[in-house]
Amino acid sequence: MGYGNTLQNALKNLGLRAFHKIRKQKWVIAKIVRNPSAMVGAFIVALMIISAVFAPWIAPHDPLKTDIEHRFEGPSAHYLLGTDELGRDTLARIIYGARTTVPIIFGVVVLGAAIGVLLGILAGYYSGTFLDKLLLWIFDVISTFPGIILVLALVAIFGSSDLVLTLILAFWRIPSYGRISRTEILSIKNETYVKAAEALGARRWRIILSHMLPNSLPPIIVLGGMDLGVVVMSIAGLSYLGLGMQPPKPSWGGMLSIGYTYIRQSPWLIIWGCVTLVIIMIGCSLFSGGLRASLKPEESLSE
Amino acid sequence: MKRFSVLVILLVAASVLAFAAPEKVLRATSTWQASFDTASVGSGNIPVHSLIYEWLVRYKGGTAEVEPWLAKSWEVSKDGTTVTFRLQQGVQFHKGYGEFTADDVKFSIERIVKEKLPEAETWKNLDRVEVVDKYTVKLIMKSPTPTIFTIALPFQAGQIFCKKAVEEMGASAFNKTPVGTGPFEMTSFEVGQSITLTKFAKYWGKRTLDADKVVFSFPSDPLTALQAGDLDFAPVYSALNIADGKKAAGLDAVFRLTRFWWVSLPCTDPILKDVNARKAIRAALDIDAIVKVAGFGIAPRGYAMVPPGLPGYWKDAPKYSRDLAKAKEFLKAAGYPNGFTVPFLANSNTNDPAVEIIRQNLAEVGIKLDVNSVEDSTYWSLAPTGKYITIISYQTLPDAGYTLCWFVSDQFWNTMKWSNKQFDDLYNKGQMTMDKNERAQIHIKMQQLMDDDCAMAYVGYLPNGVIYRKGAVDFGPNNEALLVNGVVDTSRIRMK
Amino acid sequence: MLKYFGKRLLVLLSVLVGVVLFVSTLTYLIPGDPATIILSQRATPEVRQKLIHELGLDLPPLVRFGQYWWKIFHGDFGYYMLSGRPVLPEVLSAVPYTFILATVGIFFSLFIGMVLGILSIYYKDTLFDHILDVLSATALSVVQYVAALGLMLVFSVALDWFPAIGMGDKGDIVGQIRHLVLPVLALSISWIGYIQRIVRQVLAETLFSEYVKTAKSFGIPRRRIIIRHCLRNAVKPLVTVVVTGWGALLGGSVFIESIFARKGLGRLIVTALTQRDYYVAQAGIMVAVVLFIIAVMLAEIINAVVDPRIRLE
Repeated sequence: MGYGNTLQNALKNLGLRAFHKIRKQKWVIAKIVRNPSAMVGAFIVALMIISAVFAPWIAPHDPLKTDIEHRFEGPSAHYLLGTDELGRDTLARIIYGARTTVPIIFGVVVLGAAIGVLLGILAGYYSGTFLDKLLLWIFDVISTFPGIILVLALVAIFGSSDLVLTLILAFWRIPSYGRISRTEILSIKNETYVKAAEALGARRWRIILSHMLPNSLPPIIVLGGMDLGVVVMSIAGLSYLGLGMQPPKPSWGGMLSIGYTYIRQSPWLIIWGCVTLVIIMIGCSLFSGGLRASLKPEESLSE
Repeated sequence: MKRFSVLVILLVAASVLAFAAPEKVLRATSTWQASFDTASVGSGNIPVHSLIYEWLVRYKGGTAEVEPWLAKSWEVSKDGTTVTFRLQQGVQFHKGYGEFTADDVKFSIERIVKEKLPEAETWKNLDRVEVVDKYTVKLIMKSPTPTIFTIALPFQAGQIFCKKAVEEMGASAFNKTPVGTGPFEMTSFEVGQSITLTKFAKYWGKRTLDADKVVFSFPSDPLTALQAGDLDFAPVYSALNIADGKKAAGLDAVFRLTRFWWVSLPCTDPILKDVNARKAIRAALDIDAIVKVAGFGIAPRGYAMVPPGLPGYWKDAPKYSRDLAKAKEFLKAAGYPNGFTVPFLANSNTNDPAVEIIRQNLAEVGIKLDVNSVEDSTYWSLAPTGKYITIISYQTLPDAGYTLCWFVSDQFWNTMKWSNKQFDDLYNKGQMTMDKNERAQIHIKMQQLMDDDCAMAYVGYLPNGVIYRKGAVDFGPNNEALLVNGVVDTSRIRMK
Repeated sequence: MLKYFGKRLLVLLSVLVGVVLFVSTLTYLIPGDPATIILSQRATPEVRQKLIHELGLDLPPLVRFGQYWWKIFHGDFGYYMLSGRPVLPEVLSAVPYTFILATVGIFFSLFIGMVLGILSIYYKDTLFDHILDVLSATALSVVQYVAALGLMLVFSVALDWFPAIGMGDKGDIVGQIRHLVLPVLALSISWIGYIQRIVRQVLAETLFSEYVKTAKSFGIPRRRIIIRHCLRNAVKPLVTVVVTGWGALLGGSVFIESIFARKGLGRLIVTALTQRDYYVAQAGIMVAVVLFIIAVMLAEIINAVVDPRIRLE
């Protein structure tokens, strides 16, 4: 039995598992629908993604078009949420802000989770060995560094282009995913079905891919949901320090800190900036809360 | 009897209260303070230092005229190279370092030249300083120098330090315990947190600022702190701050428009070394829009470097307005009929709205800007490299030569890296011309050269000023506490 | 157990070494130099070079690296660029202030967060619970500098109840407390939201576990179940979150410290990085990391003490 065959079998298994997961998904989705907070959360997250994708169709104005005669205006019929320091439409900039920010936050979460989970699985599976200790050490070094300062220093060195920012923030988030997946793997490792698979002589990677990974995903998914909001907040913090923005592209965090600068010229900018951030965080918290509730059968079985 | 004792009690209480009168503390903000040995750093934190150090002469009432201060009187020799100062007597230094004498003047000025400190450029023409007697000192220049009384003595380069203190303590200790002749001495300094100065009992002169203590802090939002009553005034250096200060309830702002503001065009750039390419940019820019958006109603448009009011102001400078047709013509002449791409440097900490206006203006004729938005420190290290277009402003002093000195060939802060021999020659000539009118003509010619060669696109003048709590402080007649370049001389503030 | 902690300490020390190496590398990579920032525009390139030479910044990186570490081993953490003040005393003097802010902030958040979390579980699934859910999610979205500004505008400018900036005079305890109120509130808002959600989630999980169901079937009142049994389970995650959060705050309260003009470690480090004052930044980060590691160890000790299961591992 060559490696290729095993891989094939593993993938087939993964496919079967995915299929079952999707069937379970419907059940999960059904549970989410029944939970109103989660529904609100899901709606908001969906809105974020739709804004990002369909911005040119949804936005009432060109987000870059300046209108110098109408700077710092409040809400009006023409500019629904008012205008900014160059007379650009705030609503359009918020919608287009999704285009800039949503790819970054999803990129950060997916990349951070992918690498973090991979390393976490390795650490968990080979727990107690040097590899495990080394990975834990790396996680500790990264997470012990005061967050803002780590990101600040890295941005100062590598610049704040979208790609670089995504990589830096993903780097910063890796330890969280790493530790959680490691903990999950450690507890799953001793489950009966894993021991059974091992007893039957199944190869390591097959066990990891087809048994451990799918079952350790729920907390990762939940963390990822929250992280979407956390990353937006970090971008807002970075913008205050003058980093992470690429004018003239609108970005949610950037709009907040720019609104802060111009608060006495027009309070509307910071108000809408805050409202946007609040909605995003509520959306992510409720959504991830809903995911947690629905991915854990115990809680909903009772009461 | 009872009434009598009540009266006594009241009297005693009153006298106790009178003695326990709270001390008058003036609270302000300061920019980041690196060093109190300002000569070695060159950069001045005048709002703080004006309390500690003094000058031989000082600017009079918010103008560029000077009045005697540590120097009681002076005479200029017939050939104009020697100035003999008679010094005030009985002036005491802080911390018991004795009396101010001619030795301190010699030390303070010669040190700058000998140790090649940053202000050495201002004293380039100095031959030597001669001590005649304890209270008489001679400033001997190599040739007549018009800038002695306009920028050398009353500003950065003319601060008087205590020779004994610096020599005894060494420059680095002096940093922590500065010794000057000013009305206040420094009593505590927490880096980045607060600077506290206390009244110097043995001050020689008449006090304008009647405070017991002055405390400087470093909040990142001085406006709110002012409104909350936690601060009395805050020196500011941007149009937005001044505009906000004027708008805010309970606050007001005063300022002077002396920072010159321009769009720097890199003259050594492969594309922009052609003057037609630069002229295309100048023609495509809507300067009025830039001024509107980044001037916040405070900063006016300008057409040449030297601000109005200064000798050397070029009244008849050409007034460019946006002309897209002309811009396209210049582009063709430069060989880029469809435009080109050039790098632009922006400061991400200041978020200047002008940047976007510039970008859009130029995009309309096909000139694409590759915007590099970097944080403050990186910005200031990249700006002098001459590789980027950028919109920038510099501080000035009441001397057109000082304004224009940055654009001499090979000057570090010549952000355009523009080089013109005639300009350099004129500059050197101007530094030695004593006749005011002749000098003004030289400076006007220099600005003409820059304009003809399109080394930059002039924008206007930005403010230096101060925001203060209404009713807390007064800046004197003609706002004399605000020096001619808008920097605050705290020793001349009056507390209300 | 001591052996366990001894081993953990060694591991954490190795983490400290790792972080410090990381920091040193980072600071050398940051572009820009302090000379351009410190000196006035009048300074000629020669003056600039002279300063760079004096600060030892023109030496090759490895030499600088080695020199720096050699000096550290002799207790010399360097000097502030140009003000000449020794770095370590200044950095350490900022610690107590951050300590007070972080400690008061975290405990205040802990108290309020727990109360709200317990209340929301008590009234689980009612309107109150849902409103609190949304409110805590909103609280999480409050960016520190916005909260700071908002609080200042309301309580300092409009109402004039509390001072806006500063820390109060030495010896004036009441004044110092008054100066602490707004910064602590600004800091706590998002932490309260965070803690409330954790408490509620943990309580929700344990409330439906087997042994609680047994207790309920015995007729034990709900309140007692929540407090006696479920809360115990909340200790571990809470301790971890609170103590490590406290450790993180020690180095991370930059915004609060800058806006309220308070002395603090976070502000010190960020300002130093911006000014390219390398020694200060490195020393500051090292101190912040040491404090964080102490916090982590503390969390582990408390958890071990409270939860006997860990001790047996």
